[in-house]
Amino acid sequence: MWRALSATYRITLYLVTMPSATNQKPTSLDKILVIDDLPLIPLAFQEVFRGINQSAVVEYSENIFSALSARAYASATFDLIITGSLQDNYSEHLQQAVTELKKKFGSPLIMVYSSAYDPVIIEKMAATGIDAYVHKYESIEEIRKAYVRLGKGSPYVSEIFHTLYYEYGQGVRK
Amino acid sequence: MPSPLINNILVLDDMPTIALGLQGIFCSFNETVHIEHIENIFTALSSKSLDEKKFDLAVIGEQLGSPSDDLLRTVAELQHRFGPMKIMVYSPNYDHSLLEKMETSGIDAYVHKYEAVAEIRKAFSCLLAGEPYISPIYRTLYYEYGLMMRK
Repeated sequence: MWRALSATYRITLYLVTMPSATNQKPTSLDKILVIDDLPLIPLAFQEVFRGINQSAVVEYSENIFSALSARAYASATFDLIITGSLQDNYSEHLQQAVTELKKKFGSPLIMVYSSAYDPVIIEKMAATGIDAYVHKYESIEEIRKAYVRLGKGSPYVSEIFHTLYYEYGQGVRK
Repeated sequence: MPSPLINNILVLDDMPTIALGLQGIFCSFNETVHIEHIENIFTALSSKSLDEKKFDLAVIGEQLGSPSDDLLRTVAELQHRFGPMKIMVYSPNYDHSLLEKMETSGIDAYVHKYEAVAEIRKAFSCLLAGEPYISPIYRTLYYEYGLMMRK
């Protein structure tokens, strides 16, 4: 009984304290750009997303500078950009990078895919225009969840970051 | 002499997406490839679920301590637990001594993590053919800048 109540409470708390959605409308996330140093990452994302949406096409760029300057993407638009190559911590630079990506590629959703935790990113997600914050060590199932949630127009914080922020939040703040 | 098929692969890496990406590449050579993903060497060496398992290839993507001693110990431990198998080191760190010890330590391929997918394919082809493989980034660092980078 207590366990059930506790679970309900946790879910309610989660819904109340999640950053407000930046994108309220369900969207079909067909065109995806993955920005990461590791060329294997887009391959994995393509595999995951194709399992959910047959029309998903994943493009790849090694870093944000090539993504913003590549001729191949001169007039491209994307529904979702996943970036694993931004700075690990919240900064003016990160804010600027997200703004530039949104401006250049037709206001795509932005997923930060990072192996470092910064609570400020979670706090400023809505204001910065970050729609999902997913830890690089998360399981494939978590990536699937993130994609589905984003497609439904909701922001997403992956389990590892969620636990760190909502359960240990104050303790790990800088 | 060509090697037997590589069917069972152990991938040691913190990131599950690495294992999935490798699976995509390896399956294009051999659809029956089975990949077991384990986050780190400690789990691989202690997990009961792996007790009876045999692998044809281990891909070590986990970042281990430097210099190469930790990695060489890992290779020896894996061979001890799972029997002889091919070893591919998939790392973002350059270590010239690893290149020098590849043959004696049982490492068959040394691939930089930033290499293109085409290079990983080449590495797998070499492994299937029983040939050693060093990726171009490491090759350049070693053969063109080798002496400068040595400690």
